[in-house]
Amino acid sequence: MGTEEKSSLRLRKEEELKILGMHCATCEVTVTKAISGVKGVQEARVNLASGNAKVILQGGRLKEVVDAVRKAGYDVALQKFTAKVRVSEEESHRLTEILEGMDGVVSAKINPSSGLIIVEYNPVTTSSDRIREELERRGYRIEIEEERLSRSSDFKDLSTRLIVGALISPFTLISIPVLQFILSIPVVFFAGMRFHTGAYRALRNRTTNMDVLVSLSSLTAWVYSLVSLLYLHAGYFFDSASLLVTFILAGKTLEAYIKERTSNDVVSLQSVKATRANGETVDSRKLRVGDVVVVKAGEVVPADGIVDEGEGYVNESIYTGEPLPVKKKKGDSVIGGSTLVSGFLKVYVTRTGERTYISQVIEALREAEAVRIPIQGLADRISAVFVPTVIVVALISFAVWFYTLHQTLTFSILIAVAVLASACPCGFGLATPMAVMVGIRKLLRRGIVVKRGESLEKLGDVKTFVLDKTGTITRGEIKVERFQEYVPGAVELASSLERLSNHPVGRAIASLSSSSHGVEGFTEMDGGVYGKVDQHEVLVGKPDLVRRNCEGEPRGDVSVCVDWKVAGDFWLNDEMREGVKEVVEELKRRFRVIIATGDSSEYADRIASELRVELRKGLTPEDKVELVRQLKREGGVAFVGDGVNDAQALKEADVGIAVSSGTDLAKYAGDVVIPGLNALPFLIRQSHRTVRKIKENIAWALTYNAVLVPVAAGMLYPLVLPPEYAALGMAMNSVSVALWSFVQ
Amino acid sequence: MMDPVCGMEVKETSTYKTMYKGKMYYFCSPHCKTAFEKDPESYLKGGPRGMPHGH
Repeated sequence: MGTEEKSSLRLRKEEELKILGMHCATCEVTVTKAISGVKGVQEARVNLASGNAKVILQGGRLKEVVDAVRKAGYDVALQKFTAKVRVSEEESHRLTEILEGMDGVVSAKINPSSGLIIVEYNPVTTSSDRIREELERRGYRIEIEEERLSRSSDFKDLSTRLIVGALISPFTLISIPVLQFILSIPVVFFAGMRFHTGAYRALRNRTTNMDVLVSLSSLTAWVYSLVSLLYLHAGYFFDSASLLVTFILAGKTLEAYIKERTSNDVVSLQSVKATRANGETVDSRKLRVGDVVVVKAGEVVPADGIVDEGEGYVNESIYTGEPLPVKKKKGDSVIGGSTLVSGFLKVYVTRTGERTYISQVIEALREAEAVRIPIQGLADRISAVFVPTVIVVALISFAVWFYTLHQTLTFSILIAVAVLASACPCGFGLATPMAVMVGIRKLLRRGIVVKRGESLEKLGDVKTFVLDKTGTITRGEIKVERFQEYVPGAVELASSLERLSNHPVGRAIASLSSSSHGVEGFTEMDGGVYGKVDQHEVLVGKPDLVRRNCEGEPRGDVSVCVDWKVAGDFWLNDEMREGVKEVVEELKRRFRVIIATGDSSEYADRIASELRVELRKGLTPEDKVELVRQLKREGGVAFVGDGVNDAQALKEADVGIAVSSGTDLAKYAGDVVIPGLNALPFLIRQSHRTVRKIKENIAWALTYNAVLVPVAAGMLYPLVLPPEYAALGMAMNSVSVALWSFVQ
Repeated sequence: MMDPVCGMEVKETSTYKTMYKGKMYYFCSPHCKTAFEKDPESYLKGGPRGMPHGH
């Protein structure tokens, strides 16, 4: 069934992609080659002038085409939307398949815990409206929200139904069949309606879920009782049908409450009360750049901004991981979402809405939480065959009790209903998302932002840590320790030239002299800068560059040539960050640690020998990528570096860890953003814990079903499990997976 | 402007560039630049030789 549909969906498809970053004819060849190499691509035509690629797919996946283009060093213009969808855990895999089979959809990620889907699509061939229409045709209701997503709707819906069920069900225990019949109607058909519609939707999309089991068991019990009431007069269990629905609703409501509590702690930060300077209270989302807000002790800073007035201590742990409050005074910047512990501040708002740091964090978390890690594949495979298997087991139990053991029809049906109600596939679906959600939030409390959930699992396979030096191990504040001048005035010329550079070394040299000379034809290249200063041709650069261009032997970390002769040398220094030694010691115990740096000076050697680790120095950003690629042959590689200059190496590594120095999260490449190297040991420990929790959850879900289903089938006869208690057990299983995920 | 390694047309805005004997050279890719820096003379004397291995 599924395969037929899949292949028909993947018949010949034509896609047009907008390729980014092509600037020469070679690019055209490279991109064409990359796309053509993907399995299932029949034809690829790339046009340099328009930047477009026409791809004809015969069974191939658009996602793989995009990956291939990205791997070749280019990018594809794509769009994304986030939407809320009501879907059960077991169906989420099928929904991903449906989405990824649609024209123009590149990838779909679903977090069944929060009901959020993130769809990445090709804006040239499709649109979010078209995707929504297609989904609605298949019975999925989705809400695409431009602003923030409203939560709690699932919890509210469940609790309304639960109240109806809980108020009426007890009265179904009164043994007056007609009364039982009347009272069970609202419970089974209003309170339980979401299970019936869910089951219908799943079956229509050729999949199964928990709803199928609940719907089937409650309806079987109810319909049999009705038949019995009208004709057989054998036995009624309207009460079992009602209690079964109510117990499962209770479990689901509790589960929804836990899920929402978990995600709300961060989301609530987006919407806090803000007091404008004129005393007016508004929602933080309504603030505009330029507003001045008043923050009192104990309150949350409502947006990113600068202190305009007042003083106070602010807890910024969500951003720095540092638990101690930091003093803030006029002119200091504050981050929305941090808490003013004591004092009083007037804050001039500089960033609002989606551009605030916290919004960026939430966006990243959403994406990370929608992850499917490989081990979940096992759970998905179990899930897919689980419900049909349970139905077969229920039928077999019925047949054995009724035909072989000659029990009454009522007893045999009760057994079958109990089997259906006891089996719980939700544990498998919840295992990963719940554990990941909790793990990611624990990390966030230490200022660690996980952008890709997969990295938590991949960290477990890492063998080598490659650390960048400047800014990661050291403070990144390079200073000139000493210099020598062979031609008088050379340092002054070098300093004037470097004033135009943004490079940290450039800034250090620029600070040596305050006099400024006119510079013409300034050019910055790998390893140095060149320009005409006061009619002299001046080159300042690393030894390699200097040797290729100038007479004389460079001796410093950086040298200056005036009119193509070595005229001076500079020796540099950059202080090591606090705590780096301890972190590197800890890493060395379990991993191979390598420092990779663009710096070719002796200073790099000094750092490496002090830390007693391997050193690769004088590397260009491309060399770092190559190094990572080579190391990957020997096992997993994590690259830790500054997310801007090392973006390529971060992407190439199995786990790219960016050390942040600012609040613009989107700027950083990498899978995880950490506030400093000190956070690394916690990140490693926590990721292990989360992965272990996922495995435990799956194991628990397996054990639970392996025990309860046989009991429900009557293995312990004469001890039998009434359907409503089987349902209670089932409901508690998913609640326990949710709760157990917190213990990590 | 010509990439001295592969012979491809390149613009002065290319980010891949280096200086040799006081003259700027521009490249279409990091591979060409690395190849040039390893042995500039052979390319300047022998002319472009097409894409270096690995592109």
